[in-house]
Amino acid sequence: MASSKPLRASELLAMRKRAVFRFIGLQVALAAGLSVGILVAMSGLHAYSFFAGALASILPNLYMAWRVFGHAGTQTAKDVVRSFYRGESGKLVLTAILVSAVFIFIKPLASGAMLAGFGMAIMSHWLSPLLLNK
Amino acid sequence: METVVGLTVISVAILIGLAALGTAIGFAILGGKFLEASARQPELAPMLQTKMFIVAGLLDAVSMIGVGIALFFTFANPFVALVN
Repeated sequence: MASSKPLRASELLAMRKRAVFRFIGLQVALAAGLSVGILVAMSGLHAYSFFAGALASILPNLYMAWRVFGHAGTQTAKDVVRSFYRGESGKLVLTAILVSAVFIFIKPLASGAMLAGFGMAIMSHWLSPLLLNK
Repeated sequence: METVVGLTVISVAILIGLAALGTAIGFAILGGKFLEASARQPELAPMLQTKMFIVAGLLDAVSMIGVGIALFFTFANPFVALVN
């Protein structure tokens, strides 16, 4: 029999935290799946460029999720906002660093495929309400 | 050639600057609303935290694409090849 006892704030937060990290896992799986599709349809160069672009967007997102949800228990509203601000500024800087690193260190690189992977990873955020609002 | 490079540098600076400005304004509004809502109904704070994460992802999507395009123009400017 299902219990009708309401969840405590910390239990609810832990559930949400798991959902957020599961969503990021799904983003990685989606990027990897599309890269395999590109490998089959086009070439290895396009496939790894696409995956590198996707990772340049997903890793900063993971950093932000860790900043916001990576603590134990609940936080005060002020601390939540502070961790969001820190997470977002870190995400912006980390994105710039990672995209630059991809362009500098990965040679040869298919720029179009890399930008497509980057855009796909960002656009996959539009799926997040479907998963996280459950 | 120099004109193309110079104009590209200016456009990259505008792209990254406006992306940061847009994200900052959006987050300021988002954070303010979160504090307001948490003060009214503190029991909703954990749920609002997740919703804020979702909105944050949607909010910075366009500015992140702007940063990506700006860095593309910095490291692999297609217009330089056109001039050459």
